[in-house]
Amino acid sequence: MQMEKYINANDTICTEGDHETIRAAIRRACEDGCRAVKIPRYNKRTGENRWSLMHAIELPHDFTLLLDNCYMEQAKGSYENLIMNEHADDPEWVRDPEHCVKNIKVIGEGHVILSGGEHNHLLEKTVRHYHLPDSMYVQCILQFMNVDGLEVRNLHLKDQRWWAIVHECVCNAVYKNIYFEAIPHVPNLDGFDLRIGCHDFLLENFTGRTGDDVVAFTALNGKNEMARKVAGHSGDIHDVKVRNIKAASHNCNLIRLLNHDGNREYNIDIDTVMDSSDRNSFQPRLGIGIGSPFYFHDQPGKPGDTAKITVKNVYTRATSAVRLAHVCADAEFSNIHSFGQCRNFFDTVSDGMVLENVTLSHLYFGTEQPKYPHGETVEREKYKGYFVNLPNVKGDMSISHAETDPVGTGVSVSGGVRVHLEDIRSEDIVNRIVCDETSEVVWE
Amino acid sequence: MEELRIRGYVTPDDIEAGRSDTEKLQKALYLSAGEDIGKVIVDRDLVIEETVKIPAGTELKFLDGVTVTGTAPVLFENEICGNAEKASWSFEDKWIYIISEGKASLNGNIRFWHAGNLVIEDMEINGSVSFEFCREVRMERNTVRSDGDAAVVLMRGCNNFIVQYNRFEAEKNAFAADASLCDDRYVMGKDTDIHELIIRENEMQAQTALFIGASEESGVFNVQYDHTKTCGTGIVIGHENETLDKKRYFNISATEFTGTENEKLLNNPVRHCYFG
Repeated sequence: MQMEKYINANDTICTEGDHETIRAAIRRACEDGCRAVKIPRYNKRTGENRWSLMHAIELPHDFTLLLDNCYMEQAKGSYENLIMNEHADDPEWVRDPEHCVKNIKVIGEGHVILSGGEHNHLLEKTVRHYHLPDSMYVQCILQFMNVDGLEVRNLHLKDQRWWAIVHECVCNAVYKNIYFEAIPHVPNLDGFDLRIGCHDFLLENFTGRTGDDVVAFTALNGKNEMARKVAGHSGDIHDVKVRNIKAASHNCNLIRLLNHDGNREYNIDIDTVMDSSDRNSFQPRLGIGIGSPFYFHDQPGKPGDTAKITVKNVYTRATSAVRLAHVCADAEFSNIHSFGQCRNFFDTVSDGMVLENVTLSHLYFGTEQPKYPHGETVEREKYKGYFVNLPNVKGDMSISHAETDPVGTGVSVSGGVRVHLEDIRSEDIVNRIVCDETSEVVWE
Repeated sequence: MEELRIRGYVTPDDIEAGRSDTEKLQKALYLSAGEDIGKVIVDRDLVIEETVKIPAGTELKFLDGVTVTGTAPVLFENEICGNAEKASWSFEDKWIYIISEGKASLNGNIRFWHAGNLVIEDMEINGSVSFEFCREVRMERNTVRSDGDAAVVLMRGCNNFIVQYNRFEAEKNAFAADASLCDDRYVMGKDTDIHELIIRENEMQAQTALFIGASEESGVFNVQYDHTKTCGTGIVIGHENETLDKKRYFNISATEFTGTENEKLLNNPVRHCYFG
């Protein structure tokens, strides 16, 4: 018998519900050998243009899920992810390296909406309360654990209940053309998350708006992460290319990198991040945020744990354009632009941060000083903001070719750091250098 | 109708016989929208004699080898184009896809006004594509050839574009982002600046690859333009003899493009721009 190109979910209708219908289609696709299921727009079982799922779609290995102009949602009252690899919700199963699922594709054609639907009240602070599940790992739209080979394209993710897309121990993955639409009515509505053990990813063309970080790479040994970590697998996140993130974050980060507990993050290449928030909405807190002195479980990150990071072509109105807040080595930042309500260009809030071979070039610090109600800008003595603010930082950093708008402080450093600046042009800097006796600023 | 819903798309030939290609395609689009099918597939060559309007929420897909030829000044436009009653933020036409499965050709101009979430992919367009008050647009892997001044024109009020892996050919400007241009009505609730453009990895054949223009009221900012192959001037910012405040052009980056000896031409002061 000739193999089908795909099985249409409308050909395997089960009266029990949409989930069973799709599960039957997946079963038939595996039996047939085509290993592809198409979810069309029209749901023949219900007569509606909607697929509403109480349970997750579980994708087996070497499988393609084609979504054709459809709307699919997590059903009201459900406590399961929308789409995941087989057994991704079973921590014991995913920990076994033999259970790696290979080669999954989720491809959208036309306008495909994957929605969190009506929120089920499960939040990070209500886990285990009110008879709710004991894990947030049931709230995602897409969740992949222990997968090698993944392709996801052309999706509109809407109203996620928590982090929209989550991965742990996933490698060789490509994501393209993902549009996020989240109204920040509850906390933690991240867009795209990589957790421990993820590597060799390409992310391209992420747009829209999230209720928390747009893209976050967090390599931490938390209880939930360790429960799902593949045995023998490194916890590092590495070799990730990010291109064309053009999105808005609600008061969080456009891109966030964070690692502790012996996990490293390295070979991260970020090329073109544009902040699409507008003056009337919450601006992001950080354009690019790397590291934090908090969130560690076993031990904080050590010098060298966050390394070989390249960030270029950033355009943001975030309160701080770039923040390094723990350790960072061999990092290059170039062509970074801030504008609008950005207050600080490059700063840290860490205590005891160590920088090693960090270079910044072609920086454009656009910032608006406060205005009086009648519209006039405040007096020069009241100018706010820092071009570079590094309190209690060690190591070295070089900055070349920058232009700054009028700002309160040019460079403020303490803790022993050495900062070398060259070709910095500014319309007006009230306090050019603020430096303690242990640090050094060379401004050419 | 149930059959069409189950099939998942409408074709022009699903419309009753005896009608022109123009009527068939337009009715197919309206039928798809009216019945919430959401997709029209064009599976044969068509000759279109009047402007065809594409409703919001439509995937207009052309199969491999199909050619659609228009004889009117505009071949396709979104449905609310030219409708004064829709000139308000909340009436935007959204989610329109013009895509080809393989290589399909459109002979005619395409126009979008007050539209959002648009995708144009894998098309060969012999005409120009223009946008006014449009946002969230992605153009990838297209060839656009125009006899006119510009292959692709962004007029006032356009923002959030990703334009990659295309080939644009025109006489004067391959790609123009000009906030001083307007063709249709002002849209209440939308700003008139042009901003957040990512234009990269394209081939641009014209006197000028990328032209950026502003006006007294509207600026252009946050533009990343790189990795472009061109035979003309790589980038021109500002109209000839222009004297605008430099804040009208800021955060524009133009790097890694090949051009003639005049790689860039600045007709107006700019602010916080990077030319690598």
